[in-house]
Amino acid sequence: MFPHMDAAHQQQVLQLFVRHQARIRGFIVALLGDFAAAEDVLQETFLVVQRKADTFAANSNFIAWAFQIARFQVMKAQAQRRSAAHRFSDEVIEALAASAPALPFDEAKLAALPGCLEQLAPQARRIVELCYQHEHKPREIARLLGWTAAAVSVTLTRARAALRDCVERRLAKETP
Amino acid sequence: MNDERFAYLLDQHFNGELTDAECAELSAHLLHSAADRARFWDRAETHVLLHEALQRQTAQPEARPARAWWQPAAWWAAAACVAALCFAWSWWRSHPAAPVALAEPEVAVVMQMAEARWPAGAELRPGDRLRPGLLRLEAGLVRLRFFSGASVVLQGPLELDLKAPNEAVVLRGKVTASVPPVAEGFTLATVGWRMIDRGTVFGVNVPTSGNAELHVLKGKVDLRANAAAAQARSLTTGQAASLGNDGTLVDVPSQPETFPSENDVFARAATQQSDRLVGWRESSRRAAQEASLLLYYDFENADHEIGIIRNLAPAATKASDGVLIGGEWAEGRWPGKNAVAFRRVGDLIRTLPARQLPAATFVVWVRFDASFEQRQTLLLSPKVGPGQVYWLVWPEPRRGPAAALAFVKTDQAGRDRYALAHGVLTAGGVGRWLQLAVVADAARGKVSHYLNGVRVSEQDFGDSLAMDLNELVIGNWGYTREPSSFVGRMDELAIYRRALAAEEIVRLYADGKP
Repeated sequence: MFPHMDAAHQQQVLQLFVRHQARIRGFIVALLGDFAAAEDVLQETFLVVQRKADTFAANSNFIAWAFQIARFQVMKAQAQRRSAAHRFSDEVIEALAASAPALPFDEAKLAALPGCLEQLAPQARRIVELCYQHEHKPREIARLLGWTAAAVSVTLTRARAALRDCVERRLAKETP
Repeated sequence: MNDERFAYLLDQHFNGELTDAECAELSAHLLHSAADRARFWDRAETHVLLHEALQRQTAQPEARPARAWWQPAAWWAAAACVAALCFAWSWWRSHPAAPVALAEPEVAVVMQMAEARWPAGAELRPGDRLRPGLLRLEAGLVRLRFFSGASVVLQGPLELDLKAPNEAVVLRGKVTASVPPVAEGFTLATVGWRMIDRGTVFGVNVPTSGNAELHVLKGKVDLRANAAAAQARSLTTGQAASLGNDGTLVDVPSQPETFPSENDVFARAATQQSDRLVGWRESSRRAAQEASLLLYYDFENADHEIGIIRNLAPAATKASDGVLIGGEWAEGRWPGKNAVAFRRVGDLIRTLPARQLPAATFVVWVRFDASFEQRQTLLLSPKVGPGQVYWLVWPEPRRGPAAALAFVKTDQAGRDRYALAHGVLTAGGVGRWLQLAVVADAARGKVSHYLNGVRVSEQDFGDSLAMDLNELVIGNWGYTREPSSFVGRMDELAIYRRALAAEEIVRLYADGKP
């Protein structure tokens, strides 16, 4: 519709991206299951958002629009992966993207997490840090700690469950 | 579907460890059940929030140089950014998680290194400051000085989790700590143990598999096991122990010679640097034979007292030798390599290459010693008018803290035309030797900036007027009172009469890399 890109509009779109980038990253991380690859896809998504800013209608749902771009970038990245292992088909990605919550990744839950992390046992906390802060895969963590990969996976699963419960409990307490 | 099995498959997916068969199994369920898709997003939330929460606690750009500007992955994106939007982009890059993330204080400084090999994109150099976070070294020796005062020699392959100015966790590899009295209490930990210095030199070895070992070379170390039941112990000079993660401790023979010492690092670093210098001299001699060189200063063939820098280009005239005005001789990229240090506003080099060039390439090795908040001139042709060129560091405070590289030429109508590489010079670049290059190619009407062998921008200059290189001033801005002089060192400068290809600039970078 607009032959020339409106610079102010584009600036606004990029600000929206910056504001919601944690959500967009989360959406990509969920679909890819790989933090490093997600960071690359997030960059690609940013570049496309920048290029296509003029196709975003002001006051419409930015997250939905950005997720749509991110979804295509995830498919593109999947197609470029060498191995077929751990790769959702486009069909699965579409089905998942269509059922993604409108406003995923709750800020209140994020705020409750640090307190819950404090309550983890030291070993579990260490493993959670290695996984989420240092972005090691369970296999690498196992090598670093001299554990079996299965033991690390189980610890991670339990830690995630404990943290999920703790966050739910804290939020329940806060709401009267 | 079995709930437990589905939860397991989801975990495998989020751990990045799904097998082909598991992926097919999970996919089938996600495709056919809306309830399973809802559970996918429910589980994803915990996974994503954990990542976000822990990344916000990280904020350690130096210890995780993956986010730093000299990493190649950042380049293409920086190059792709449209002028008006670079600020948003660089803001986003520098705030990967939280808009207001307080950086944790620095914990250590990289002092020396010998034959150090780092993971790609995570190269560190002497002088780099480290924040809390994981440090990985693939091979070689590195010495760190913690801010508590403790000196630590690392031998790769190694993974060290930097915790605080007086604490680190050895996840793998060999570490020798020399702790002066001021840093008593410095602690190295392994997964199962904490080793607290009581005035010592001690070594810790954490092999890939098997028990960690502590060897006390001198003094005393207190040992605490994380396992609750285990006893506290102290080891003194000449004692060594093998430490089980469960808190078991077995005395072993002391082998101080198997741990790297500070002197090992000094000696090997010196050898490596002199090897690099010899290597550079060889490639520099070859490079000086290139027929298209207009000017080549290696700063080695200089008359120090008189201050004449010889132009080594084939067929160079005497007039194109550099005359050093102000400035001081200093050490270059390696001990034994000469450089000129520019400090004051009036420090500069003058020369008369006496050429008008339609195409040229400028390549220089410099170390900036002041922040990029001020304009700094690398070189310029001082005669005002069409064809005048200047090459400078161009701060852009309204875009953000990082400065641009600028190449400017005055066109026929007397207007300045700019080629800018935005946001490429950040605080992390101060104090490091950098290769900067500009390729100005009139035939294609393009100007490209390079930093450390990587093209960081390419622009249509829209002007093919020849560049006036009759006269050149290096390191200073000739006219204004406003300080725009270069503050730092320069130890190699080449100007070619043609546009060099990207591969040629990469090769020059590889030959000259400190």
